[in-house]
Amino acid sequence: MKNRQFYILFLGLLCGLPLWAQNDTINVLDEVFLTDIKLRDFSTGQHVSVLNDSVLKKNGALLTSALNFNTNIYFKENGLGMVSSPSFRGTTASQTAVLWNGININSQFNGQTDFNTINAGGFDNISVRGGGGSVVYGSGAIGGSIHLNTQLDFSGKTKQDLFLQYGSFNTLDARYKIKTSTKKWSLSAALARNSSDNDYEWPLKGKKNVNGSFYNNNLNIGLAYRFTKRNTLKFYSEVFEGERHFSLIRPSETKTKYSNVNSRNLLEWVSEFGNFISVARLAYLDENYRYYPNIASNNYTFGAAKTTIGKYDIKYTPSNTLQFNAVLTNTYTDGTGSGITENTRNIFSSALLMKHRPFKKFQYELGLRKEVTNNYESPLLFSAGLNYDVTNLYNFKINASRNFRIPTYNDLYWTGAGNPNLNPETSNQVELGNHFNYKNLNFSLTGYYNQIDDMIRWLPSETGAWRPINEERVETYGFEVLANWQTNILKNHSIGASATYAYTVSEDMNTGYQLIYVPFHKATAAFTYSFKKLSLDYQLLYTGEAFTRSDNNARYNMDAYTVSNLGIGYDFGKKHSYKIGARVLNIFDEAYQSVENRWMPGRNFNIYLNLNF
Amino acid sequence: MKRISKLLSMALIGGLLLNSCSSDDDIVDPDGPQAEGDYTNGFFVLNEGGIGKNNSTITYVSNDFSIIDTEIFSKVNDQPMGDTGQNITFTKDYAFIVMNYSNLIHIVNRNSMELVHTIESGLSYPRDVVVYKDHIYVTNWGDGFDANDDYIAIYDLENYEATGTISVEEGPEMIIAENDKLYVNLQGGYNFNNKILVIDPVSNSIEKSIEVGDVPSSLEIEDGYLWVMSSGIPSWPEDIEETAGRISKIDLSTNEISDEIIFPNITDHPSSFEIENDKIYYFLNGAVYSMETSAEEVPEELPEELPTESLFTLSEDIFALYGFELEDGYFYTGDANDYSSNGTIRIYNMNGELVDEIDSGGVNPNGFYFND
Repeated sequence: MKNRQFYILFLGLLCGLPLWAQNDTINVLDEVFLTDIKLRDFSTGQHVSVLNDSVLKKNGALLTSALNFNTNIYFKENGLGMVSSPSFRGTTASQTAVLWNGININSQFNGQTDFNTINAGGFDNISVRGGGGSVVYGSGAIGGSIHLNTQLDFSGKTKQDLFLQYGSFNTLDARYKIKTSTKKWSLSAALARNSSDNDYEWPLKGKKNVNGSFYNNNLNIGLAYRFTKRNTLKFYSEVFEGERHFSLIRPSETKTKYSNVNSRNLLEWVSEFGNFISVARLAYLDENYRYYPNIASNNYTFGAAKTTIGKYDIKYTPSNTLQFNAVLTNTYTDGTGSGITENTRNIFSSALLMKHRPFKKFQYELGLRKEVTNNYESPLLFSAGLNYDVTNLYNFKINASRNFRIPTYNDLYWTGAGNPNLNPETSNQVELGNHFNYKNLNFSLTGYYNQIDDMIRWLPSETGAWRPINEERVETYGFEVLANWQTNILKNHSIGASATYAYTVSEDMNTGYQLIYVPFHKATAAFTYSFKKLSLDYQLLYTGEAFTRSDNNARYNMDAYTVSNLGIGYDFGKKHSYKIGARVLNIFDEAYQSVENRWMPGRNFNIYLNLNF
Repeated sequence: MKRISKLLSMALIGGLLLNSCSSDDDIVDPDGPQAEGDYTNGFFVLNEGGIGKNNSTITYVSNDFSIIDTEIFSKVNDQPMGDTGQNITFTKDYAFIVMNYSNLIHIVNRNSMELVHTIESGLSYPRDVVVYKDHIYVTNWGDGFDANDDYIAIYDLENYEATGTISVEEGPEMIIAENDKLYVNLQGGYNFNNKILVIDPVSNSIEKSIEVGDVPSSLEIEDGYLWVMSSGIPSWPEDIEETAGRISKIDLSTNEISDEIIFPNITDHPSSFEIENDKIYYFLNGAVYSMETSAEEVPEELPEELPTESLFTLSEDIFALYGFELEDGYFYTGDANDYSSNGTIRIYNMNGELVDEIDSGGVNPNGFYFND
């Protein structure tokens, strides 16, 4: 591991390498290692970026930070560690799907994932796929999807990884991971804790972040048993428990806090027979949050939802260039909360997928999905994609899809306000990707167009109560650039560079105005250099000006900001990798905020120790 | 709330915004050029802003609408005003600005906006202020869902020190001083209540609790009576029956209800009660209604019937009515538009004709305070 460690660090794969691009044929064996196999098999015409473990150690445990510095996704963060919502390709917070080992975990209540309630230390890798994915991943995969993956193998090896980081504001990021296996058994366990006083100074005289402390603990386990050569049983389980005090703008405000406990369980049986692979899954998700409007009191509001998912997935591979796949899913949710009387809902869906590679350089896929539920009228979803390797240097991708975001519990069942007649938001989109590979340089340019209809919006009704209605129409379009390059220079010296850039237009079609909190420009860059056992890395994040007012009144805009981080590490291990290092975050002490009056930290420091054995 | 603002934040409604037009129908002729920093002879528009955004502002508009000055508090005092401006109360020289979400009261010179003092402690989601003799009284909701943490905070007017509190039932809203008593309507916070409290400001104790209609939302003192408009319980809560609005007239000499009139339909939820020149005005279902304050034969009693014809229907230009005020023969409306851009002030005459339209200079204009 030790040498590879350096190598991977060196690549600084901050933007994506094409994931599994090497797979010329459809490989059935990998089925065992990755549960979210669809990400590999059905991303034709789309681009998948992977943030591997070493990248995920660079930006702390808050998933917002890791994605903000390494991808095109824009984040609106209410101060460090506070509520954080993404805008992926100009879409809204509930239009990015988050998948845990292939299972959609967006909140049943608001349809979103708060990216500061996910500890990046809990996973082996996090993949980011731009563009629609509802045929496979269901509700919310409109702007793109984020995949939190645990990997299991039967290599017979045992590996442990201990990472301890401590820094400014009493911030602790501790992670321990063990992977061990025999030929029949495989275990992966990841334990992570993140805590911080988070009392950083604001760039305003005498002001600091008050009531911003947080902690969370995350345990993620994967267990597999291969009881015959062609039958494997897998079990994944995760528990996240966290509490955040919500920071104040003025110290006189009432202090509030938020706690949540989420657990996720997935049992999976993979069976191969003839040209078929059958995967039966049973998942159980438990989502709980409590909001305390005054920390001095025990009163709270809450939401609690239990979701049971049964899924049967059968794949037929008549030849090594052709595969068919049928997926039947039943999702049953029982949710209740403050303002929501207990409600259950059942959604049945069926999906059909096919992938074909008629020529070595050309492959395409098609997908259809339809849901059946009493809750809303579900549109027929589809996706179609193709990859064409024009030359060794140039690869061309197209993808078109219809996707949706279903009404949430809040939208449907909020007492006196929920609207049972809501339809899902639907998105029709198309993207064109151009990928260039030349020696050590990868470059891609992707343009997209996405029209979203029936966007759900809460508005005051005639009775004065706020109610959600399908009202808005938004079109988003733009382009994304991803580039990375690495090389060895001289002996023992390596350098690498990567960059992302996104130009994003997200327009309300009724008014022609850009949506608020969607900057036109966002860019990231990373440079790495290593010499023998010493490594240096530099990260850059640029976020352009964003509107905060729906009429695009420029007087109230959020300013653009540029934030840089610098890290240094030294591996003192001989047989194993034992690494110590330090990082300076926001090295130029940029005063910045992504939400009005919610300042982010200035220059701050941390040191870390990372043992691999 | 957060969820709502998120949904709102992506929302846009077009065509209505920033169409500030000037009008030739000036209401009052200017007396002459006005000194800068002089905010007399005009009115304040309180823009509540968005919860958690700390962007509440005050816009000054001169009586002839010729001078419009935005964000006057922060301009004069070089600091943001705070979060969710709830109310402004004038005394002879001062304006008390209640910042609900910030838990602050700014005390400023009402003519210059210069900050005199900020009360920063002892407040929990304050709603309204009254000054009686040498004390300041502030209504506080506490947690709007918690029926047991509501109170009135009392401060010394000389040194702004807290001198005590009076615990009250759920949802104290407005507070006014009359006849050496304080009157508070218990509107109910995020719940529903139906009482008027009479408080003795000498002993600082509750002297009486008078039951009125559900959700008393407006108070007016006129002719020796306290007039209370209750909006009734709206249709949306489950498990609670919808009730109609009500107008109650309380005799200030006895603190007894002398007369009441209940709206005929349980779906009638009137608001924005005003009395001017012996006439009652209120807002119901998008229209402004007017009626006499008393029955023709028996002046002590309310008229037998409520008006069936409205005075006028508010223009369909208004998307989200947020502030409403009657002053000297003109109706002032604050339109929140889409809640995430500047609001629009529209001024109508008694016939419902639009007289002027002004950009409110901030988000969610919720009140008008006439400084003259």
